[in-house]
Amino acid sequence: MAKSILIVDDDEMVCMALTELLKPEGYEIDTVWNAKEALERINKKRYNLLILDIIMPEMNGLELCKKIRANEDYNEIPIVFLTAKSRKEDRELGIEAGAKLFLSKPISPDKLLKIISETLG
Amino acid sequence: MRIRAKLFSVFIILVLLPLLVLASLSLGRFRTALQKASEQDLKHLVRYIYYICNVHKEMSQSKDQAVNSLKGEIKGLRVGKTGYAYIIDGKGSLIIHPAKEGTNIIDSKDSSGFEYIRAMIENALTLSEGELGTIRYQWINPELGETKPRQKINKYIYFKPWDWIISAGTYEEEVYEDLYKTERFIIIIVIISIAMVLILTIMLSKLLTNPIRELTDVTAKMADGDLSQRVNVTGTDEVSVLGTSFNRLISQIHDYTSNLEKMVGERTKELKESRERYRDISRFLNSILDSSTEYAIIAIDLHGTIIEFNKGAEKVFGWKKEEVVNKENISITNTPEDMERGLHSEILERTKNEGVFDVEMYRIRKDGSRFPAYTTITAIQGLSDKEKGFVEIVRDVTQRKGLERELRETKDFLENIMESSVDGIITTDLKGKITYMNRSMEEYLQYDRQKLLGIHISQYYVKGIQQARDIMDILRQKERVGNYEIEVKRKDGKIMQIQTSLFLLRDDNNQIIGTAGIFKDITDKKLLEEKLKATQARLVETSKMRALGELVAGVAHEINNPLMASQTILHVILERLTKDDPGREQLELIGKCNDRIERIVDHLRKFSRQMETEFISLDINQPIENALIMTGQQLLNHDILIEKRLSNDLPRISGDINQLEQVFLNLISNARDAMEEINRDKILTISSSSIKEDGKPYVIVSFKDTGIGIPKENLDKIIEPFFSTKPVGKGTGLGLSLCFGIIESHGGRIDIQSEIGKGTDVRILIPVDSDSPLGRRLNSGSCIFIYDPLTL
Repeated sequence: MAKSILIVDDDEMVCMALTELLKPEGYEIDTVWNAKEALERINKKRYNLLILDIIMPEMNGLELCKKIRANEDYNEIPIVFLTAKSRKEDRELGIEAGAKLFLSKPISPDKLLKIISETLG
Repeated sequence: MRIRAKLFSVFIILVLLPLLVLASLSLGRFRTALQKASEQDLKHLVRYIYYICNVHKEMSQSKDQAVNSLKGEIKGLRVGKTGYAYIIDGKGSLIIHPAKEGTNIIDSKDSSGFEYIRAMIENALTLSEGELGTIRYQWINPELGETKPRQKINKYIYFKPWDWIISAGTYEEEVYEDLYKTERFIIIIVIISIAMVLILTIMLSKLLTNPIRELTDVTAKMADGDLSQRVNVTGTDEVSVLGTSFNRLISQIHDYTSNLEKMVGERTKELKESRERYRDISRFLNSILDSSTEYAIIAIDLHGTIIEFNKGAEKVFGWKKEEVVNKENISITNTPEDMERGLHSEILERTKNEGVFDVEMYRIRKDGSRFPAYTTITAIQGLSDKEKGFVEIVRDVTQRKGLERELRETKDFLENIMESSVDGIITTDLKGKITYMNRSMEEYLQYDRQKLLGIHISQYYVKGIQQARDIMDILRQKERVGNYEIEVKRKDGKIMQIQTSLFLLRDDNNQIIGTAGIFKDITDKKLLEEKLKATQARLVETSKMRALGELVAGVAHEINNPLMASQTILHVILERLTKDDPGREQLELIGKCNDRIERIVDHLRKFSRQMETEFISLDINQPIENALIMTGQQLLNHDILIEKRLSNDLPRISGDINQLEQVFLNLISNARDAMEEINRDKILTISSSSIKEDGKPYVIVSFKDTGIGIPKENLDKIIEPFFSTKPVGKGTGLGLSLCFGIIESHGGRIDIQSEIGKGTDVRILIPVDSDSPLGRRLNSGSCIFIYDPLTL
């Protein structure tokens, strides 16, 4: 059964590009543009990996991450931040919020594929 | 008249006196004779009655018989006009009396209250036999209508046998009546003779004195000036001879006097004229004296007595001329102290020797008030040596003194202000020569100001005479200049920056007489301003960097999303293409573009990234060595020789070792690039040492290359972000500006000196670690720039 990944990013281009990259690899990709939609989506479906942006309107990625972790179903699901932020404290905040990895944009597609593949096992 | 008087006296002595003596002698004798005869009559009468009584007694008749016989006889007896005889007894009862027989008249009184009957009876009883008594008394007989008492005389005798007093009395004047008649006659005769003699005497004297009097009259008229009179000469007597010679004398005198009169007339005319002239001059002088009401003019003699006192003196001293002239001494106008000191006499003594003497002293008015007076004393000399004295001209200078004091106070006041001004104040004459300078100006220039007076001001201008001319040109146009900046040389050669306000000085006629300037030392202010400007520039640079950093961070973030999308899509497309697809090459080109964008953004992000810096106490040589380890091989590959001159005993600084290493790596990289294309020896000299600047210790690191150098016009720009002369793609233009930011955050600075074709020397100054406020501030973590050496 194909692994499902939910990508949460307010940048449509990023969502499209990641879908293009990951779909051929056999992952099932869903994309949403904000935190509210993301929360709705995870209640309907159980994803194997969540990729979150941080800077988003209304609710940022860090908050979203905490909410998702609050959901019992998502206690152990790997969450990866993929964000334009790169500072050390942002990284610490991200880990604190419950993410497994903190990746800074831009990241080479090969590296990203490798990390995702390793994360999902 | 004297002659007449003499004649009269002779007449009196020779005629009148004997006549009067004769008359009085004969009268006296005549009177005595008459008196005796009258009294004798009364006596005889009394004695006659006494005898009759005696006869009657002898005839042995009784008393009463005798009375009867006697009565008729005695009553018929009369003495003079009113005189009569009577008999009274010792008790005062009238025995026989023409009118009052039988009455007792012992108590009768005369008009003066004298009891003459009692007195008579008492006296009569004491008389011896046959002796007569006399009594006189005053009596008024009212029966005859008399009002005045008349003297009455009584003769009496005492007839003892019958105790009778026989008395006869009459009014005395009746007794003397004949005598008086004779006297009157004699007196009339005498008077007539005197009158006749007088008339004769007068006539005689007239006869004698008339020619003399005529002579005298003529003389008197002559004495009055009438010389035309002549004496009327008649006869040939002595007086006529005298008259003739007198007339001759008069003629001569007349001649003389007419000559004399002529001469005197001329002289008098002359005198009159000169007196007229003198009077004019005198009037003129007096009017001058009196018209000077401000000046008291007083003339005094040698003793100080006032002999002239003009209107001015009256006004100044309060005395009236009449009160003082020839009455008072000049000392009334001098103060008691001056008099005590003998000042005034000393002044007079000096005036005597020197002629004129001026003095200012206090004088006294009539009311005792004092006033300061300016006195000029002149010794004067009259026609004779005796007429010596002095003239004092006195002026009340109270008002002048007051004005002087006011002026002095104003001057002191202004001078005080000028002297206490912290700004320099200086004035010059029209030629520019210094006429005054205040204490501050003296302190500015450090010269003794007394020595500067009269010296041309341009000597102290740095620009010299040209400066003075420039100032004068402006002043002539504008009258005054404010905030004009000039440079002034001090005595020790130091240059002062002066901000001055200048204006023209004019006299009462609005003529320019000089210039005045207020000088403010702004040397320190200028220095401060410069420092402030530099600080401001640095601050502006810093805030510019901060703003830029924020902007760059935002931009980098925004670019990263599309960049990542682009890279990802490109990757996906390339995966799908076959190895020999003709489109692959172009797509890979896009990939390279993406890589460059990524690098730029990364650099930008590093530039703007904010991260906690870590300041520790360190040796500056350590990051230098670290940087060299990393780049040593690279430099060797480029044929660059490294010369290390690092000092071993440098003071430690407070800094972030990684950031500093980053700065040095950057500088080494720049030096390498600068020496890339030169043919000379490629040498990079790296040195470190310590210096002191403005009293603060610094560590200094220098990177000196032998590269192409930086054009002058670029020196200011190289610290600006994005400025680069490197080929596109080789440098981002952010390296040096990052370095500036880091060094600045260490409280230091970067100096760059460069010469085209020779090389560039970049020097970094960092303050020595101390407990300076700067160090603490840096440690508090407000740094802006961060740098990550690993991602370079």
